[in-house]
Amino acid sequence: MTSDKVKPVPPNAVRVWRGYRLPTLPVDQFYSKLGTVFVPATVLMQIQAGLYSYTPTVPAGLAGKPDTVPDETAILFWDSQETYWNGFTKLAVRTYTLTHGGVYLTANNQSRADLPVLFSGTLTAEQPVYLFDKAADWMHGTINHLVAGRAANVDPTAFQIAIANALSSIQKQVALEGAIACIGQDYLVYWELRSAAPGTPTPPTGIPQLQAVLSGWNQAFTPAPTFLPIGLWDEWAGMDVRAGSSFNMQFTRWL
Amino acid sequence: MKAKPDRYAVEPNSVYVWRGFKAAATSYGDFASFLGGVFVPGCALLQPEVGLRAYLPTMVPQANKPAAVPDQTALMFWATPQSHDLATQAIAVRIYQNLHGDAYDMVRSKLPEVPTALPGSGPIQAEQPYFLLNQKADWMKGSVHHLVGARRADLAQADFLNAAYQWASGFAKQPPDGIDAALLCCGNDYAVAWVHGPAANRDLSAALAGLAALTAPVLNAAPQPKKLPAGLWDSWPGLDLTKDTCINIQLKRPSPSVVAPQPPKATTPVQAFEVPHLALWKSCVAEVLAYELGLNHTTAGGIDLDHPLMRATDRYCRSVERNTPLPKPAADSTDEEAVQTYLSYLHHRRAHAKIAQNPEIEAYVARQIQEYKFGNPLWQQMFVQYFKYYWQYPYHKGGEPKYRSWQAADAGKGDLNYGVIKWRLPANARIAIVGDIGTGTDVAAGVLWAALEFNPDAILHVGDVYFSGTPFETRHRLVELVRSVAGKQGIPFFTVPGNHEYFTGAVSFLRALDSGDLVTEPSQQQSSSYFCLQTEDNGWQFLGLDTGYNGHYMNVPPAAQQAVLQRLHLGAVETPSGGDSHWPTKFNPYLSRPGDANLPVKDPTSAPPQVTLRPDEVTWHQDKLAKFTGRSILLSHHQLYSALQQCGIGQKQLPQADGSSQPDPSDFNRVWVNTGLWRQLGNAFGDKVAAWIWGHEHNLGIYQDNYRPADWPTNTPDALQIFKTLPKGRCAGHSAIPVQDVEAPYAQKYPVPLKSAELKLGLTGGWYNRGFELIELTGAGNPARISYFQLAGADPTPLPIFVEQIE
Repeated sequence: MTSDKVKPVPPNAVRVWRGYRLPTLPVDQFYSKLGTVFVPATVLMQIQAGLYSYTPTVPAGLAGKPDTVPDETAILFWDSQETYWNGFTKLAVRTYTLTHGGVYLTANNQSRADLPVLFSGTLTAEQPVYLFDKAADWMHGTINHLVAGRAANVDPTAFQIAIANALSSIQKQVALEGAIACIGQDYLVYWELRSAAPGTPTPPTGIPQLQAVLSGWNQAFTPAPTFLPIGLWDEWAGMDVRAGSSFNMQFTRWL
Repeated sequence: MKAKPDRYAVEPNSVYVWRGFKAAATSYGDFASFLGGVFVPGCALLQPEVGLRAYLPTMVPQANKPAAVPDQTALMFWATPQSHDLATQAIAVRIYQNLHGDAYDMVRSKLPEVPTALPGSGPIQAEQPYFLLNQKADWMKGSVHHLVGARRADLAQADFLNAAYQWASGFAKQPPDGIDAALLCCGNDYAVAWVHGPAANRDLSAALAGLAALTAPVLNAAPQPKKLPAGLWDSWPGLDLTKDTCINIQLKRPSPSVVAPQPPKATTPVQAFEVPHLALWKSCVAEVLAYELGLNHTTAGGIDLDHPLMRATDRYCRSVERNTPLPKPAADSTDEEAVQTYLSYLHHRRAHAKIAQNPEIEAYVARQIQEYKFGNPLWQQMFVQYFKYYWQYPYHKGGEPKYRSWQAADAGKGDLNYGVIKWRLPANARIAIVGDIGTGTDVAAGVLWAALEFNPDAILHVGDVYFSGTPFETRHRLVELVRSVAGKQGIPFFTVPGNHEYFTGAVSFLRALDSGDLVTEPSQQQSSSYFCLQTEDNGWQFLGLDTGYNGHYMNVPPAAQQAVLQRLHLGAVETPSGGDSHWPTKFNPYLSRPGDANLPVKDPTSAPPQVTLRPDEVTWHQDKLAKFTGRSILLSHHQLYSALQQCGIGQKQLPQADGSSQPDPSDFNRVWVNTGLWRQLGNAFGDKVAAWIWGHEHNLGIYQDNYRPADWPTNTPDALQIFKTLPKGRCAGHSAIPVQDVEAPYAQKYPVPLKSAELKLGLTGGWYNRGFELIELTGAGNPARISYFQLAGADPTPLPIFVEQIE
């Protein structure tokens, strides 16, 4: 059974992906793989396993992006963490998962996805957090996404503390439908969901507060709602993925 | 009853012969787990939809297996030798090919996989697979035997390969009984072979005994049929290949036409010109070419879209339609394309000079024609044909197009039952809907064939026979098409005319109806260009509307018509006397001159502001709507509204005190809505009319249900009584005319949203798929179901797009 209806899901039912391109794979082939295989496959192979929303972004190739900042980011919502884990009982999900090795740097867990915990004022490297403990539907509404690198003259601890303080401020002051963040030693990834009825004022954003504490490379994205025009077995060249592409994939959910 | 051919049998070289070696770092347990848990079932579930026809994987026993013998073998049969490569056009196959389990030693496993015929002399080449019998076979059915053996220790490598050749050669010359296919591949140190027989449950091991004798067999077994217990999204751990070691996976194979991807055919656009003079010229070019090429007996009538003269005519007509310059090539030009294009213009112009009885221009044009070395005598025939046709049709004599009014003395004689089809549809009828199908292309026939797979009780067409509905075109592209496809199955075909039939006054269209060739029994005879077709239980009726009568100049403003004629008759270029009018106005039926007594009774260049039905026909349809107790579905060529094309008139503007103007909020007119048609029939929308299906745009438009402009008045008498809401408006003009992606048929120029953004035709090789609809009735008082289908390119398999109810 499928549905297009808005249905909020828990804020911790999300995998937060930070992917690094295999150094042996030229960046144009990386884009090609993402557009012709990975991004559409993520949707088409996992809808029936309970995928609820999927928002990939491709910082790879953007001018000035440090190598320590992920080449591709994504948040993948499920209707629960249990649904995500149950996915591996299905051949489609196992197959999809095993496609990553030829594209991403997976040694030493460098490219990884993790489930978030509720943000309580402090951050741990590679542990995603969510800021608002309420359900939301990330396929609908407006998502803003920030990807940033740590400036060379800022030490990792100071970077971590400054980001945590900004996130605390956002958590207290900015009325968002949802927000997710993750830092590594050298990067920050942050997503927020805003929702506004037509004709009402634009809701606030927390991104300026984060940008205020960043002195290194950073880039904001607004993932574009994007439909796939085809199914798994249709003839299709794939999506046009390039530096800075950011999509909020639109699909009919399987309930 | 005819025996069905084995539709899944494939050519002997349509197979990939896999010999895989496990990666050294991978344990056999992990290897088997990866293959069983993901790789093998993934192959079996992801690829049949796009051409995998049989899959026989085998795990080679490890006990006593020399390292040089593969750890795993597999045969993967594809629908055609090209299918494997073409299948990568599907994401599912790209996913499978991107599986990265690190389980194989890809250096050792990267070996030739596609077999060739056995060479005339030995030895066989190591690592090159061979097929031994050159015939088709379906390897998923019947019996198979598989041998994997290590080279016998007492045979040197060269002797081994020579001996294997001798065995294979003998096998090919005298195949063992019951064997219809065989594959062999030898490495320097191993041999793998498979034999197949069409009969099930046969032991075929003896057929490989000779080869086995050259080896120390590691595996000598019959692959066991194995049906996968689960699908892609079911919870299951996969296959246990330590138990199911040698299997023939029983794939879920869809229709063979689906699973046989073909290289995309080059498609040539059908250029349809809305200007009648250009459409008629193109008709004449196509007709003469059809006879010249001997295609006049084919169903399509031989539209050769790629013929140089046809391409030249398209270029010429485009330049006229767009009013762009058509450069005159030098007499000795070697640019044949440019010369032929110009010759198309000159011959068309010469025909009009003759029509105008102006020998001076005709001679002048004829002299120009003689200048070019690339002349073609066919142009002369086209010129003659044009002249002949031009005067045969009512417009050109200043008359009306043909129409059979229920009120007219020579037609209905005032009988409101005139035009009602006597034959009734069954209460649970299936009705196929096609639009703009009269093209003569193989796609048109393919769409009809596909629709017939659903055994419809009738086919309804929403009009257009290209390019201008001449007798030749109507005979081939409508009558013969229908007779050859639907007629043989006894399915009646009912149609309304589009604008193109009226380019020649609908004369041939009515003759086609009268011929009885579109129906299978007299009671089905359609007597007029509009019709009423009802079900036996009075649950549903289909009303065919003739919008072509007033709609044949819909997209061509009068000024554009004048421009075409001026270019043909009055233009400054190439006229011997430097631009004076050479058109004797007394012969000109188009150029209105006050006081000219010979002006036509109807000026066809004055297009009505929007297409409407004739008033007498409105009365007729209103009568049917009022008297019928069931639900009605309307069918017409022209749109009630459009997201892309202008089909209405602009909203009235109210002047403001400051000199500006504002839209009149009480005015229903919008440029994308035909308020004329809405005003004629809208009183029955909802209560009586459940849906309206139209064509004209060569696209499928599944528009938002209950569409009406958002800012239309809601509580005025007109809003409540005339501009009522139509539950479903659907555009279905996508049955034949090719449309490229660059034409952007789904560009939403006007605010008419689709029901859902993804409900669009798919693309195949840059061209939008063509298709049809199927309406299924389930009796009076019950909702009908409409299914939308498309065909991917030339593949006639109907692919469902969407299903919805009509209530």
